[in-house]
Amino acid sequence: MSKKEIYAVKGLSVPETPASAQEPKPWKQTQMVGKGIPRVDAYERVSGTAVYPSDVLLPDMIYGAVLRCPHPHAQVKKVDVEAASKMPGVRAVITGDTPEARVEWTYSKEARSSLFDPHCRFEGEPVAAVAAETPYQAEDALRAIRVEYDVLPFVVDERDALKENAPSVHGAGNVLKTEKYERGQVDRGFREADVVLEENYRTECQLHTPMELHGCVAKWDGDRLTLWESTQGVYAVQAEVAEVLKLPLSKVRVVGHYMGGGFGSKLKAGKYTVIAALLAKKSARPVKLFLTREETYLAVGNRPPNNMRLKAGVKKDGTLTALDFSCTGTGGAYPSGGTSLVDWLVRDLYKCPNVRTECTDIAIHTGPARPFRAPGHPQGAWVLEQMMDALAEAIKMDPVELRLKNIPNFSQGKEGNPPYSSTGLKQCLEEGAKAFQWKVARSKALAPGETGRIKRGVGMASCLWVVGGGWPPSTVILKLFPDGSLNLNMGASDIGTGTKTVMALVAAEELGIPLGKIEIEHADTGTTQYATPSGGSKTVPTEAPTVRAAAISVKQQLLEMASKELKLDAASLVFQEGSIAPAKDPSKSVKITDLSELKKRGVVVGIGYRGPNPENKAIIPFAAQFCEVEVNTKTGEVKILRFVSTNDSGRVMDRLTYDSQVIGGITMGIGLAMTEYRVLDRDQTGRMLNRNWHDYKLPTALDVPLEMTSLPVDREDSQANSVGAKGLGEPVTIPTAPAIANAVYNATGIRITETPISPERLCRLLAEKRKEG
Amino acid sequence: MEDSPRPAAFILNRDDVSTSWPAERMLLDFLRQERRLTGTKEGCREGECGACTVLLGKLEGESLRYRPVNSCLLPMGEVAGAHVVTIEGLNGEGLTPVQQALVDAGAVQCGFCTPGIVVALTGYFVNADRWEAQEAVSSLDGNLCRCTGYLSMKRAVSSLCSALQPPWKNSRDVSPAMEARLEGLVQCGLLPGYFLDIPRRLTLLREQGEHVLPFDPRESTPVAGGTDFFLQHRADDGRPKLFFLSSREDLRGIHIHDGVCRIGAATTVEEMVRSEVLAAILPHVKEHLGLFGTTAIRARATVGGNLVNASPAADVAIILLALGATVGLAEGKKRRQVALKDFFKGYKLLDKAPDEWVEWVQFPLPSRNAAFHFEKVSRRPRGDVAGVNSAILLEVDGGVIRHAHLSVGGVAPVPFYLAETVKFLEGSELTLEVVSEAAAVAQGEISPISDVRGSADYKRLLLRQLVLAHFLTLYPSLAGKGCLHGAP
Repeated sequence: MSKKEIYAVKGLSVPETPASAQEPKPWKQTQMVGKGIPRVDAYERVSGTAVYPSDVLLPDMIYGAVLRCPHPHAQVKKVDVEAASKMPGVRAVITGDTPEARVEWTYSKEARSSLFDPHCRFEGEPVAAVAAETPYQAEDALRAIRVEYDVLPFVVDERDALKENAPSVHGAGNVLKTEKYERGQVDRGFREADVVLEENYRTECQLHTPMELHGCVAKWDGDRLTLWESTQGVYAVQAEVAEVLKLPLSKVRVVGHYMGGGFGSKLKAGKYTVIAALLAKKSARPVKLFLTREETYLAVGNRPPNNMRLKAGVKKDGTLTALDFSCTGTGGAYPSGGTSLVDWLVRDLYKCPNVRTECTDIAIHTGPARPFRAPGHPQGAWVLEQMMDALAEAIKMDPVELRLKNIPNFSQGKEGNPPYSSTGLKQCLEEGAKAFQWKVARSKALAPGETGRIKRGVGMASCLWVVGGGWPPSTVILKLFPDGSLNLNMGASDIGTGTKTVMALVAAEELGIPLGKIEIEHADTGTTQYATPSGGSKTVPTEAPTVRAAAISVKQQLLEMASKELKLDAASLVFQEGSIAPAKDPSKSVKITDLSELKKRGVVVGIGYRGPNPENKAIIPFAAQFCEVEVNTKTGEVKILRFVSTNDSGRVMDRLTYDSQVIGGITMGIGLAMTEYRVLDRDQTGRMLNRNWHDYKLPTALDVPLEMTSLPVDREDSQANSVGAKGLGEPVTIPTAPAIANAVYNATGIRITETPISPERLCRLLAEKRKEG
Repeated sequence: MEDSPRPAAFILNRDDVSTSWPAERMLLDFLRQERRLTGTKEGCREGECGACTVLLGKLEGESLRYRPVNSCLLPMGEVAGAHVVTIEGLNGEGLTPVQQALVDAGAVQCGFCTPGIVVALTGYFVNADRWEAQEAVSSLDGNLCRCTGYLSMKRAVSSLCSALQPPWKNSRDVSPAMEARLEGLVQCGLLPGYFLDIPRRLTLLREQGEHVLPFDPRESTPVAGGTDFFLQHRADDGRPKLFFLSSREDLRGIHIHDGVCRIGAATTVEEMVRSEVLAAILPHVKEHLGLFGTTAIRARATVGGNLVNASPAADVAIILLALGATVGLAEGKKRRQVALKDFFKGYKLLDKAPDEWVEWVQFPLPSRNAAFHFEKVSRRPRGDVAGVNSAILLEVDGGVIRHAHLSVGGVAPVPFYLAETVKFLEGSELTLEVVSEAAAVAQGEISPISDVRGSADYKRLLLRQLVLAHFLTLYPSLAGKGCLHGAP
């Protein structure tokens, strides 16, 4: 437990290294990778010394705040800032009338708007902003701004938005687009089926609510802008801010060393980023602008609500014959993927020759969606995995068995049907069922004669995530110093998943350098290398091979130096722990720290680039989850007793960060299943009613089961990339909600087709069932 | 800004601090803006996430108690004379055992919640006489983490509880003296050495300072806790001047006298949870009031505050209603009493003059054959406002209900006393038919509305279920005597 043991891992031997002309293959044996090594930046995080963007304090810094439209739909007629401008401590006020603030804002490719758009299409659209000496003065000034609104009719529920005479969001019908997909002959598929089931489902809108609020600190040095932003991708923020403010990329520096979670909601800049920059410019002071928790509920994204219908056909032997899926959804007031990827699992997870899907994205007067951990997938899983459960029951087959019968080895949904680089779905199902003792638990729960207030049940679900292989571009630079210590320079953010730790492990693995001698510079567009945002389960498979490539470059240069020093051909030398030696005579080694050229140069710089993925391969992570619940049939309260999650994400890079991702993903899924949903005043005001953690409930330490098991199917994917890892962050949250719903069904015989599985809903359904029974 | 600067002297980590920050501003802002102590994080400003948790150490008589509190809901006016401990105040040369255990278990992801978790867990070890993993995990009920899923934290807690023994373990039944406790905690590395001198420094501060200011209700609003009040009065301007009743020692404590149990208005919910006096009367009080808020909220929320705040679903009010409680009011030198069920006049309307304040609440000790029960259903089992909550007190003699109190929250504009249902129950035989009919009578008394906590219909259904649950829990043998599964 001592600090020394953690940070000074010694005695590493260098693993197998590719010869200079060879493509690196994933390691066969590893020294560091795959072990449970605590975070390299753990000290900073547990001691509170890590400086998050919201902690940044600069000399002379002032505080910004944003006035937001309180109506779901309104036209701003007039903004009077006279009184506010004169208030004590106020240093800048900007509105849509401020010339510099008349800039375009792009919610998505199809949806152009402006920074202070006078046509407010959702509650929470910025109308004005101030900067003042203290946060209190800024807040007081906001309250002194007088805004005249034309309050307009609204629609905040996509189920109302298609009705005749529904208020229009963009001046025409509210359908943004309809996407269709079809393969095989669906109608014939249903005719071939022994059992056909059909059901409607709905998932409610879930909010990201990361612990750290959204926002930034903005500072100008002449014409150079520096932003400390809580973000998943500093380069993405740089690009967006540079474009909006028409600045050269080199003049925008974005720093985000630490950040307190994003889950997809911090992949890009926000309006607040640009507003902070404008306030800083106008006041000639550094400005800190962080949203309040309430603002984040309105204006920085969500997981769209979806209404879904699935008709499915199966033969008695468990062969799926047809799937017909349709859904509507809404990304809010601007096109932002209200239905994107919702149908993906129906298209791709199970073998089925005849599939038809239709997804209709609808506009309503609510805040635009942003990608949220596995966009679309938990919604699709809610439908497909409950349907699989129902089909299994209808043909009297075990639900695990039914899934095992329908595992494809290639992607049916992707163009050209590429084979999977690896698929561990079978192992996930089998090993998960074994670890959970599925058969025993299920027979116990199914045993007749159980009476009383409390009933038990078990359920399971599985999934894949649409893309788990990462992709170019990425650049990483390693600097090896003459004392044998190493600097790792990468642009990627560590959003909490352990990116820094995993990358340090890769460098340590390849170069045989103890972790304690590796320091990381990252997430700074001014000083670190280009990377795309950390998200989509792509950070490890993108960055880790890049780090390894940079490490190999370092090795090659060291071999050249040693070749001169030893007067031997480089090809005859091998890399050993901390030294280089002739392959045939290891005793004649030279220590790396003794290489005279290294001392002379002062540093060896290795540059790694992310190469392309293998052609015609789908690199996909898979998972299965099993859970047991207890239902109070009087009150409808559900207690989750245990969870087992099996994941195939290729090689496990670090067991601690891996397990943490798995358990955290389940917990987020428990939130979606049980307590998390946006409540809008659909009829009277159109406003959001639970815009804080007081009314929007996340699971706490007491709401998650004590027994949660993460069981990796730890197999390197040798085709995917040079480290053999696939993505993990998304699949961990996809099957959770339907696994719980299936367990509740198992316990009560009640199929909960709409989230949340709240005491309210279940209590009502239990009462109805009693009435019928 | 209407705040009046009142200098406050306190100890912040290692330093003596004196500040004229307005008493109504929150400690969190003082820490982050004024003192640049950014290890204490801002997550919600509503006491829900625990990222801003600090320890508040106060001398209580001769003893020093540290309680984990949300600094976003702690006004500067309440830190005078106290020792405030932030994460920076726990950091020493290396990691503390709590920090190290979290690191080793991989219980840190983005890390934004982590300082609050470290402080809250340390608070547990500082407070608890015996260190038990389950209790330690419960002490994290007010710390949200969006990344880890908590399992790794639980592992860290388990390893801590098995690796560490309280140094005062030998004296099992007696709480160790303050000095011995601090010494032990410093010895374990849980607290830095400077804590040993804190009792002396706080005593000095108490002797020097006037921490309890005279209270004139005409000039300022009394607040006792304020865990809900500060959510409703967030803005800086327009906030009334406040007087902090929590600092009035004379308004705290739970005592039995002449067959009556009296609870001082400034007694915290946590003090009720831990009260042996109360536990002797209501054996399940810990379990029942454990459903109230979170550890950090319970450490601040008070009985008087809960009653005056008059939330229709207030747990404490519902429990006290079923105990037949009476409220003691004061105005200057005048004193009067009012039955709690008559205290609530309408939504947030009280039988209380603007200048009156609550001094205490009391209830007659239930008779020996009385049984008490409390039920609460909320969307999240813990740390959530009840959708519907209900409490019952029953005296049954020879199969007949001699005496009853029944209250329900969340189904009317006020914490509601079901007077008609009580009238129906009293004198009736204890049978399933009677229970069923009582549930029906109750339906006629209530007027629920639909809100974020559930629809009106649901709340009606829930009330029925809770009435049944009361009787089935207290008299399980009833279940066999007829069908209780009939739908409403």
